Amino acid sequence: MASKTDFHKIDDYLWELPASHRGEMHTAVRIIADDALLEDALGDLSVEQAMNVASLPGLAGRVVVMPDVHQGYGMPIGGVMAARIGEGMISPGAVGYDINCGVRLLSSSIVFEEAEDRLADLATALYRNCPSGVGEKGSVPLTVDELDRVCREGARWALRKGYADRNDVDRTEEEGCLEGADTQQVSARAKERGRGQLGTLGAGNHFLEVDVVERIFDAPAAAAMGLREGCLALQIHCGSRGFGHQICTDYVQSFQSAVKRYGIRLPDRELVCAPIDSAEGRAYLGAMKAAANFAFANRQVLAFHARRSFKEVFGGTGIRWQLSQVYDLAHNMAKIETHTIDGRREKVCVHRKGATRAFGPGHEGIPLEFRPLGQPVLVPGSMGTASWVLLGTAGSMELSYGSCCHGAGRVMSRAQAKREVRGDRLRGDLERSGVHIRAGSLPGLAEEAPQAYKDVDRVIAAVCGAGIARKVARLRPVAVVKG
Amino acid sequence: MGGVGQRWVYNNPMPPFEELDHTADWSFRASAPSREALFLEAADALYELGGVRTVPDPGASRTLHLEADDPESLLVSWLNELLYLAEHDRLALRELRIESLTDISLRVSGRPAEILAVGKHIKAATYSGLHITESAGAWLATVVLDV
Repeated sequence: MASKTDFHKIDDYLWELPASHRGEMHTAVRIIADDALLEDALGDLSVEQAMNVASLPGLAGRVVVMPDVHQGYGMPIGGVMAARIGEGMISPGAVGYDINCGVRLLSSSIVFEEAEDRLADLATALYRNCPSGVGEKGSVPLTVDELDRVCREGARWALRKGYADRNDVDRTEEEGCLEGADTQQVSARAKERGRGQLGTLGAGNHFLEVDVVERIFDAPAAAAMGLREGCLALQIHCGSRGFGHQICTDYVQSFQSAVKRYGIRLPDRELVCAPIDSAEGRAYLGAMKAAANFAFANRQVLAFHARRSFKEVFGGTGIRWQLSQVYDLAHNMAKIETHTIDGRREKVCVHRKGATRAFGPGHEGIPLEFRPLGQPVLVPGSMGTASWVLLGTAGSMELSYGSCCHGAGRVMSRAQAKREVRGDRLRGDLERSGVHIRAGSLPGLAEEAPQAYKDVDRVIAAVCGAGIARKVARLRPVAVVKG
Repeated sequence: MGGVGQRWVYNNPMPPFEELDHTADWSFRASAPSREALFLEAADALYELGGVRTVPDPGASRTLHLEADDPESLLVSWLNELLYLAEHDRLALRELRIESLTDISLRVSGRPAEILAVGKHIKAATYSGLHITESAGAWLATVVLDV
């Protein structure tokens, strides 16, 4: 265990737990947080889990922890690690079950006041058109061959099939397609689960959210993104569904024997891993990329249905209903990237678990129109609270392997939220405060109550204070759809 | 109809599973007088936490045979098999009966019942902090579920 006194305070938003804190740790853990957020992080097993990650062999630098960190399984949610290609590990458990869970933001020129009377209908249309819930079948059933094409092409498949426009694909992390997806490394069971789930939202903390752009902090950046103050925007949060869950399940299981073969000692079996440059590591990376591409396509098909919903509600009213892609990015992923670590350029496998990529200005991985600004970073808050649009900075490249926070971060357990919050009452409160709710499960809604999360504005202040991101716009929710 | 608040698959003489606080996910501790009973209790916890509701009459018995490297892996495989059946086939296994159980293999039969509703989506059973222990005749396991 660690306490606050074990941390070295580097500045107001950066703390370091030295590698010497626990014998097995190979590297230090750095937490981006103010005093109160650090205390939140110490309130569960987040820091313990970060120390476990720091105990894995072959890390290139410190483990970095975001201010929205909370206890997960294996790696904490909000954790980032960089593994050396030669001696480092790739860990399916550290990436997690929802491979390429991520967020997409679309902008509009719909003025909130002109649309206010139709928001209830919009929420209903989104709920009807975007299948949600456990095991819900999607609108695009796939043959195994077609699923393979989705896995290889990602959002480009959606473009080819008419579910996307060119701008959607250009404004997606990796243009919506990780090269090197290998469907031969994906089990028949995963394919069976994935075939029927393209274009589904799922359940849990996944959502569609209609927001109003409440305040703009950086007018040129907002203009480049198409964000207009007082206008509606749409967020889509989901991932690779049962397809990704099964791939992770398969590899977490099969890697249990790999750790024995490679003589790796693990502090937590969920951190199961194999050398990146091994047969096992390459197989997982190929399968993970297939799931990541499935997730890019999934969010794209959901965006197609969301546009259909906007057209249904606003078409013929004189309101220009079109939605334009701002950006789409992942927050559960392992990616091969090059970073400067301790003054040396090095190719590493960056694992981001509940953390987004946040490349700084000039990086070639950023769409051309954003390149001088930095990569757009999307940080959804909890239902009923603000979401933020940020930009990656040079500081994120120096401090966090080009990474940033992914949300507000939970602070209350799901069990406690269920005990303390009634879903029907929460729905009523949110509706009275002007947020239309469509949810398949009231207990599920209660678990996602705003009081179960940290103050997102405080989290944003921490990442901006630490210099790993800067503010572009703050969004306020007006309609939420959950499975 | 099976559902929340009912004992699902096994009349465990020990206190039923206990839901534990976990920030992001769900966790439960199951206890039972034997390893066989522990596997049944864990299935019970999975269905109950997931709020699974089924048609009243299950179908004809179905047998599953699972193998794994060690007891913990076997428990994870067992729970993930039930999650797969629930999501993909919309089936829950009722009236479970363990035919054989070793450290590395499980043969179990149950009657599949069509699922009418699921209260909560569980993505997977994990290995996080998982140990199966036995002390003074009580078998214990703490499981974290990704939700």
